[in-house]
Amino acid sequence: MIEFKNLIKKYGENTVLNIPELIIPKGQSFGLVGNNGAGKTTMFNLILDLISPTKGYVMINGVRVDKSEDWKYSTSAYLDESFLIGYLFPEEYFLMLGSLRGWQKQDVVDFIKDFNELFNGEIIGVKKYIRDLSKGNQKKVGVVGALIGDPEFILLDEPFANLDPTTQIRLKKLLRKTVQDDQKTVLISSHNLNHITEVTERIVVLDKGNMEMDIVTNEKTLKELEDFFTVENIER
Amino acid sequence: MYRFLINLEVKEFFRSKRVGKRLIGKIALLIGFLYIALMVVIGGFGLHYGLKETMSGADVFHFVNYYLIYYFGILFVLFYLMGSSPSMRIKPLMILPVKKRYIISYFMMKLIFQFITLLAFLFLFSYSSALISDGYNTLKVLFWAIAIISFSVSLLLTGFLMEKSNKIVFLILVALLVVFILKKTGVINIPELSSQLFYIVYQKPEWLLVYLAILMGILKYTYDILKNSFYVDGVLQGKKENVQELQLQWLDRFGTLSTFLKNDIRMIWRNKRPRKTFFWSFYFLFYGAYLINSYVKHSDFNFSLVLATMFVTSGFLFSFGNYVPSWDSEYYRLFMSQDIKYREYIESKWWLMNSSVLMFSILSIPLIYFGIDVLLLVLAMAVFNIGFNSYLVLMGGLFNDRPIKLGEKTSRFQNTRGFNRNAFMLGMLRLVLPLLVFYGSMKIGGINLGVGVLVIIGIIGIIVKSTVLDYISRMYVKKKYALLESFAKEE
Repeated sequence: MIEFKNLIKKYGENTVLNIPELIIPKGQSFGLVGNNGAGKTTMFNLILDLISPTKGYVMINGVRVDKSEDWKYSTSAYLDESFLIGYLFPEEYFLMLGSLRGWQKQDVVDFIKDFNELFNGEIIGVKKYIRDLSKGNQKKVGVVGALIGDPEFILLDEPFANLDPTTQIRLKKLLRKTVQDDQKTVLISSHNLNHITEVTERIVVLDKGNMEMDIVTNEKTLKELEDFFTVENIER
Repeated sequence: MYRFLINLEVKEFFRSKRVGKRLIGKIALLIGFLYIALMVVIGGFGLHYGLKETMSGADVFHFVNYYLIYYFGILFVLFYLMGSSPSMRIKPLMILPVKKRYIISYFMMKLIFQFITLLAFLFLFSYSSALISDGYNTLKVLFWAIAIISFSVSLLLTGFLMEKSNKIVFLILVALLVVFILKKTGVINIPELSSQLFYIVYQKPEWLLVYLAILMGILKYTYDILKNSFYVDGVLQGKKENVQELQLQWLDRFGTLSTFLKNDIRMIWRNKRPRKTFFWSFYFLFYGAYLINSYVKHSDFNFSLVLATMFVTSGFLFSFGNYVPSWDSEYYRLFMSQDIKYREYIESKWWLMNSSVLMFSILSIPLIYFGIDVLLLVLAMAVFNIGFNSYLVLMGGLFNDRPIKLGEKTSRFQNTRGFNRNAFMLGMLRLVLPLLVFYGSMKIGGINLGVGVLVIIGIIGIIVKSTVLDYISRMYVKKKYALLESFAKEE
């Protein structure tokens, strides 16, 4: 369970995120939608304790992330390329993450086999450093890396951006499978309203740091979101 | 057109996120440069008149020409190590209506007129002035000087091309081998050859044309290479490196630490910047050995000798350690969100740096040639480095918040960190403290006590390792957000 309590992040006078109360229960797949600057990445950074809150706090499984590091056992994330290590081969990167998360080498090797379809022969065994992969392939490495070690909470920032259509569909399939696992809580942010409504059970809309909507995904969700993001509405 | 390019760069500099610190750095650099420039000018004059005094009557200019080839050898190594390929953001310019030749010439000018070449020019200028003022034929000296400059620039460009093409490295190695064999077999005499190569321009000025032709050829070749690779994946953007596999399974026995150690070794081996740092640390070893060689005759353990004994084993410790934790700045966010204890991270760095001290200790065993006392002192300093200085280095990292781009090879000269008082104090401390300890105890009980106290402090340091590392990690944890924030900033 992830809990937000009176969470405020300010840069100077400018409040970039303000979440008085939010609970993401265990096993839920949670979507985060918002325009640029809405505070999605800030929210993820706060959950991962990569920036410190101005006020309030985030708790993962009852542990305040800014007070203890125990939440790290159960949480993993891929936000952007700074989560990759450019000079490693993808295999080495996966093994490194595995060893940090207590997996044996063979566990990692077996786990990676399941992603052959997604990797499309361009990632494993090609002897290319991660920094030399295309942006899309880098993203695949990052997303799969975040799944290693059986984490309970998985945070993905814009997982669909930069991916080709086939991969988007494969990734969606993969994420749906992950989401169906009741043990896993997945947080996804996206600009793509179609994908996110298909993958998540609950969607929160952020605008200028505030929560504007909190809906359980259903058939009408896509329409609701599209209505919200029409220009008139957002400029109100 | 050049004004447009310069204007862009000025803006890039003044609008960067750390303009304040960078400006201070540049000013400090400029002052340093002016100081070195002054030394170089004095050195140029001093070379001529100093030689003249010691070798009365001989033609000192001719004598200098005998050894010029060694000067070029050193210059070439300096160019290669300290010179830098200018960094330019080419990509945005590529699709603009800016003629390629402007960008390439601008790039080449930046390449040629960098600090290190300017210093070489200044030296030559002052030396030539000395010659002229001493009554040598002005015009002939001028021709000679132009030839030397042309040759220097040719060397500089060759060094640049070497980075871009392995073929040229190979050619140069072959050439060196041939020269070496010829020298061994006595076919040529290097000073003789040197004098023939360079003094001839003074005797027969028309030979200048040869040097100009070489320069023109290399300039043209460089220009063509740059022009042909003026694409997004070309030379100006940096080339993709050959993939190297490393067998590091033997590290697995270190447990979690091995994860980091493996990563660090790969980081050092596969990225330009840390690789260069690694090779630089050998320079400490050789320079230390050189200093020991020069000062050991005085045999009274003077200042320079003792400092040198510390240098030989601490090259990597200082040059790499200075930039912990910036080496991991590119993916610091990953590390901070993984299940990593700072303590393990710090400890892995400690092991890495101290393995280097061990390695250099083994490499310095031949120093026994200078006497058992010297070797013992070197080893005692090594123990002190491990048990004491390594902690100071790690603490220095707390004040080190500038991101490092692993793929960019920056030159020593451009590598100015913002001045930080605390970091500076710690840096001084690790130089001064071992000297104080050694001299203090030597005064009381002779050299053996001096060596003994160093070793004892080092061993105590090693024994209390886990307490000290705990303390240092706690300080790092406090700096976590600040480090994350400043590592995220572009330079």
